[in-house]
Amino acid sequence: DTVTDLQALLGSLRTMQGEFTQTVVNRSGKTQTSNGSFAIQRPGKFRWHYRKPYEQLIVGDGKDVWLHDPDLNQVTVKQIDKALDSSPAALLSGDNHLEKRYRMKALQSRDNLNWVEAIPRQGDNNFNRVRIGFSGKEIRRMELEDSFGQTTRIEFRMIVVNSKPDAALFRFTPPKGADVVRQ
Amino acid sequence: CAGLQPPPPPLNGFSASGRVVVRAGNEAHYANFGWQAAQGMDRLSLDNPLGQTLAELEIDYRNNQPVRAVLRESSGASREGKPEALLLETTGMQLPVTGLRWWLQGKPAPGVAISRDTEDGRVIEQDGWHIATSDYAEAVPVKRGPRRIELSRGEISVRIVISEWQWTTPRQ
Repeated sequence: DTVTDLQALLGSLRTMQGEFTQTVVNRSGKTQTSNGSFAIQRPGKFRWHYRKPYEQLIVGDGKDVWLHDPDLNQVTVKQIDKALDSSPAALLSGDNHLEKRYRMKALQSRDNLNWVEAIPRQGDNNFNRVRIGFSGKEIRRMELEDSFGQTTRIEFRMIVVNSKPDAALFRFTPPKGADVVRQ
Repeated sequence: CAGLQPPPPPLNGFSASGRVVVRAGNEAHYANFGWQAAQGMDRLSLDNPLGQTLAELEIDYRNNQPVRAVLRESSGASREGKPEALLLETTGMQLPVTGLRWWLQGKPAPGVAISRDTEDGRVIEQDGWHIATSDYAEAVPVKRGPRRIELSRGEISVRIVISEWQWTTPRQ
């Protein structure tokens, strides 16, 4: 069924790269759109690079998660498990199987994608539920709902699966002069 | 300046979104934020880059004094208290929110303040804070909507960049 199809897809996923568009809709309907590029290499490595409307870079190098905001000249770094991150990048690059940490449920297909909903087993304080939309071997969309009624929709484009991404994508060296703080 | 203060100008309602980092000692607290301000109430939402809300602070004002503040956490728990204390307890961020609703706009808050224009913005000294605003979105007819706000007091320094300004009340 759809859940086992997704698990098979994730099981065979070693790397995934492409572009994304993120749309955040808050409960009063205000939307904020951003876009950029991403790369994922299981286990634990990911790059999530917002380019528009401003730059923000998040890199998981397997041990730590780095966040760089060039406008603020700020770099924060924390251990990957401490990051307790429920972002798409962490979800997709996580090594353990999804069903250990999330209850999975098949949803009706929509926009000609198969959908699975993942609800965190123990209270993950960042979000209530994640929906993953996929077709064939490709994850095309993710929707994250937080407990304030704010929804984040992410659309993946130009997806390349199981290629050989440049290892430098998953390393981060703070630029000279940046304020670097470990949390 | 002794004597009766003229009533402060009404707050221009605004909505601003951007990012903030609060540095104190060897700690840094970083967040995306959305700030909706109106004469009687502010709502400050702190989010992670993915748009998931980490905390939401609502403050009611009566003639520019905070009369009630409620902070809601992503776990759904909500608490009342002093705005700055609530924010510090739940997020670790030391952010002077009741002053910032004015300073964010490059204006002094009501009360005693020193404020002077500089070449690229304005500097304000108030409540022990040194506030510098620059990179204004609009300059004509009056400077409005700084995109960069930096403030410091003692060992706390705050850096803010605003990526979107919207004003809800017509231009004064």
